[in-house]
Amino acid sequence: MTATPVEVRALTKSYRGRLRAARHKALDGLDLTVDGGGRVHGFLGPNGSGKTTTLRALIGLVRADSGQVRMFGRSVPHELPAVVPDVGALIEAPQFFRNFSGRRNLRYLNDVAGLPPARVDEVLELVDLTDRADDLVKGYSLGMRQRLGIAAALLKQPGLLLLDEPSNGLDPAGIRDVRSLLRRLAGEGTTVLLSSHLLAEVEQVCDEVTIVAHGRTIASGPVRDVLSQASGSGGRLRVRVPDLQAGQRTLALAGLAVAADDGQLLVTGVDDPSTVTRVLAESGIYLSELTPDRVGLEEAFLLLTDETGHETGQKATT
Amino acid sequence: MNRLLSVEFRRFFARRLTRWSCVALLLGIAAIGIGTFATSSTDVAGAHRSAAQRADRFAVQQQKARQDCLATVPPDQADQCGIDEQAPPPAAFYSDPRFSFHDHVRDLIETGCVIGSLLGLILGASLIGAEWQAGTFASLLTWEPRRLRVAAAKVTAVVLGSLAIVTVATVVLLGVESLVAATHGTFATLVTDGPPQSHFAKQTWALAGRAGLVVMLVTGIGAALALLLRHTVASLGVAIGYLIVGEGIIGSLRHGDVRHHLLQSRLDALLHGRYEWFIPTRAPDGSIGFGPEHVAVVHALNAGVEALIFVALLYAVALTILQRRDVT
Repeated sequence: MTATPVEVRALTKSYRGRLRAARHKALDGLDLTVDGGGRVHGFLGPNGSGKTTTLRALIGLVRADSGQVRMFGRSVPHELPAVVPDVGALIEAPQFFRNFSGRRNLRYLNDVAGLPPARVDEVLELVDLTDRADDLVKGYSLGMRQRLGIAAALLKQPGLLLLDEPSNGLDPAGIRDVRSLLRRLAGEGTTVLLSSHLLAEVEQVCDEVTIVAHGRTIASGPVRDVLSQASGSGGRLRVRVPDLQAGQRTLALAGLAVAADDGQLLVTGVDDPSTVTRVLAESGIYLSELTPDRVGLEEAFLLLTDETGHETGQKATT
Repeated sequence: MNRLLSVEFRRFFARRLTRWSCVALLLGIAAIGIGTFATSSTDVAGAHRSAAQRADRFAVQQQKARQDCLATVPPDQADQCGIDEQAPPPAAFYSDPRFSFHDHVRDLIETGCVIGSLLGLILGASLIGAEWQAGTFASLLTWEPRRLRVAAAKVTAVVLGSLAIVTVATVVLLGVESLVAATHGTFATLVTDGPPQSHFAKQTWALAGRAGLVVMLVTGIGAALALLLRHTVASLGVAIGYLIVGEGIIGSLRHGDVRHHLLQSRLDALLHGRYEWFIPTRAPDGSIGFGPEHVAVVHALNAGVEALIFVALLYAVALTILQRRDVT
């Protein structure tokens, strides 16, 4: 399938509250595009921002009130049966038959999809569960269940992998393994939509990211672009000069936003770094260091969602 | 669909509840077989001797009681002491010690049907209800999003699976009882004063077929409720609550006449071949008629169709809600 793996437009979904409680709006016109070609797309948002509801809508577990969902160019949920063979999903905590072994659980799913039996052993090996594959699932730790969930999602060798917090319950080594597994899958052409709270994980593993809050898309695009968007229009530069006050005065006179920060100058809103070099040089000040100051994803996330989960209102899709 | 069905069948038979149910059924059958074996005997001559001895003892006791009576009542009231009564013959004290397969086979099938229906209700509610509770139903929907297919595969597996278990258990029970009949009893009927039984084999097979239908319908009810309520205990509670409390209350309306039109009466008619009830009708002269024209009858075919309509309506509701409701 060559069409865009995921296209979501203006998706809305509200849940009925208990008794007379008002309906809770989980999705409020959410947009999401996940391009194919073996990319890992991060899906970030505070708790209750609509990430899981979006994934559930993609796989047909919940019906959206309005909006459009397409996977591989096909309308969901109407054409979902045609798409599902190419989609692996791990939504929230993986659920298995507790009194069956991990292998038996996978074998059932494998047989539902009509896949070759050997595929079960392959995915067990892939998630490092071969040794415990014949143990009952009720004896598995949270991390082992998570691995089994990832194994189940990989059974179909899907073109699109929907993963909702796949690192939940995993130890640091497990998290690292998942990260390298995702990169490897992406390298092999699998597109991954990764919903996660672990911002460092997203920053390290994702090519693109979509940040959502209150059921709306706040920012979307390549990770680098979203980060620079979060740091304001234009870039942010750290400048080291011999005379901090003179440098700050000069740059301010040139109309640049500048502030002293930890023995350096922090210049924001600069489209072209050579502007800083030129302005300072024309005043006889020669800088000793000029480095772009990138905000981390965590900072960007907090900036965009306003720390408490309230979006700042700047919606810019790059 | 075939793959889904195959997986559901395998899962049904791999479940612990299914396996423990089979073990419990086998133990129950063994207990019935041992009980029948212990109480059956082929010593007919001994039974006759025992009957004659009991008759003799009874005659002696009767004679003594009569003499005691005559000693206490005035001579003109001697007829109160039953002086003209004959002692009952030894045949009145005779009870054939042999287990008759012929006379018990229908009871065995009906008992198997009742136990099997209860088991089917539990298995039907549990297979689907437990999956909802564990979240595996939702997981499966990420593999097969056509909910009606998933539901159809699960219901088919549990209905046919339960029928297979009950059929095998009934066959084993009949086999055990046949063995007892062959070694410690008889295959012949011991009923000498009842109406002649024609087409015994045909009627027995028909009963077995109807019993199978009852098991399937009740299992289907359990499965449908679990699809609707997404919980095993809630499904069983609703099913049992309706049959015992609900039908009790509804059935009491119109002087209890309504109960003859509810599910239990239809399942009863389906199993036994017919369901009858008396309709008291007052004649113009004030007398109440008791003739055959005052008996209402529901035959098995009508009862089966009506029970099927009830189950179909339940599925219509359950599947409509399954299709529309979010899986969260």
